[in-house]
Amino acid sequence: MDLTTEHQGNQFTAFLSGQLKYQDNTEFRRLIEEINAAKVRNCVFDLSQLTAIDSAGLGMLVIASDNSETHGWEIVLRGVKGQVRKVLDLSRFDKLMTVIPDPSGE
Amino acid sequence: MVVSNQAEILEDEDTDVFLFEDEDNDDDALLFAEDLEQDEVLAHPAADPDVDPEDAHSVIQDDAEPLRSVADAASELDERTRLLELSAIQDKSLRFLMGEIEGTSQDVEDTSASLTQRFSEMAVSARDLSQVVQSLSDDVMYVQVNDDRISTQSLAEGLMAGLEDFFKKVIFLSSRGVKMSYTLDDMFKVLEKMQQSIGEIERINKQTNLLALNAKIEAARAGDAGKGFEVVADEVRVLANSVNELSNDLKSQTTQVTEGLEGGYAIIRDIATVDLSDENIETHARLKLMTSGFIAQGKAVTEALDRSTEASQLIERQISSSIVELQFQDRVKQRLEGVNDAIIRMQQLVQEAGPDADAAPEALSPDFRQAVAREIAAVFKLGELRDAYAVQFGLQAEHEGSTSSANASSADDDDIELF
Repeated sequence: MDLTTEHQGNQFTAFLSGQLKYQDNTEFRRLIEEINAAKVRNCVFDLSQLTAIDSAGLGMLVIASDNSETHGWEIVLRGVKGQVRKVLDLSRFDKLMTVIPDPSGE
Repeated sequence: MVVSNQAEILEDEDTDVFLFEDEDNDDDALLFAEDLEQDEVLAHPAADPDVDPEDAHSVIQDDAEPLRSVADAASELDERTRLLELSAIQDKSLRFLMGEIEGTSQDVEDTSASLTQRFSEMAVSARDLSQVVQSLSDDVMYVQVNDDRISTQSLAEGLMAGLEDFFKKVIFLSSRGVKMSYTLDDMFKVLEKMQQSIGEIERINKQTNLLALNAKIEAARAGDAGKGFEVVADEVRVLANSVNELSNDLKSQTTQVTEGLEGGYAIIRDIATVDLSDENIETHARLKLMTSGFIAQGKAVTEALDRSTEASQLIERQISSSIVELQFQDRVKQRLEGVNDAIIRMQQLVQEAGPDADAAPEALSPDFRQAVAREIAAVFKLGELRDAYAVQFGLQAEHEGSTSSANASSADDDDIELF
């Protein structure tokens, strides 16, 4: 996984690209701690460049959701498509957080 | 007076009786009556053996004596004898026809009884069929699970819900696994610090050892006065060595703990990671499609079975209506009985009011009687009926020999019975 972040006022945006897998858990944990420390109200995970995700990746998103509840910020997944979208549909992530599919409709 | 009355009756009865015959035959009969009244010699085609080969074979005479036409035979008789003969023929013919009517009525009764029986059986079968189809429809729609009847619809939905639940659990497990590795990361950090601390101990211990060595040298230089210091310095060195051993043990133990935790880390990675590649997702999608296909198929089968049930019920209703309509046979029977009763009454009246029967001995003119009988016999299209009628008038012997060949020929309509 490659990661870049933006922080402006109450808005935090994380751009995730490549594949989100188990070995990224350390980096992902740092990201969550960074968001918690930023004390923002909204956080967008931009997944438009994310090509694949495994169950550990889904687990990390669940941990992000847990943290958003304990630290008081809203989580939004944006630009999901391809395999990532299929997996999120399949595991009904829309019940857990706001999921916005990629406008291309893939 | 009496004679003319009888003639009227004859005409009326002829018409009545022939109501049960074909129109053409009826016309023949009327023509026949006219022939008699006008006393004319008319060569009826049916009576001429040379003209009609069909008639010829059924009325062949052994002595080859030419058959006489009705007109020929009638010309030899006076009017009274002729009327008596006709009355006798009519009486005999009516008896024969009444027998036929009774027989036919009985046939219709027997046939409709057996039809009713068969239709009743068919109705029962149709009812059984619709029940079987109904239960089959239930079998398709429901699955017996222990003591519960579960509809296939909810079974499939339950399957999908179970699958979704399973997915949720996998994700929950993965997230706990990731959290567990966070905890392990924290423990690795503590272990790292422990190892740093052990290094610090080793560093301090080296200094202590060095200090003890220096103290021993200084004690030796001091001579006897330093003897006590030398003992202390030795003890300090022994102590430093013990600490060194202890820190070595700690070092190897923390290394073992680190290795063990690294193994645990690999195990947790295996637990947390479930392959969600496209193939696995496709498998799930196919399963979903199969399940919905299964539900759709079940519905289609149920609909087909429902239609089948409706069809069976329709058949059952139609058969029931047919059975009701078969009771029409009773009316046919009553009407035929009415006809017979009227004929019987008519005969009684004729006997009471007609000429004295004793004055007309049996067959005053066999020629005339047989000529008329042949004419009437020719009316019957059914060979069986024609033969039976012929026997009544003693014509049997005349064409008995040809009966078997008559069956083989296409002269009569007996073949109809085959259909």
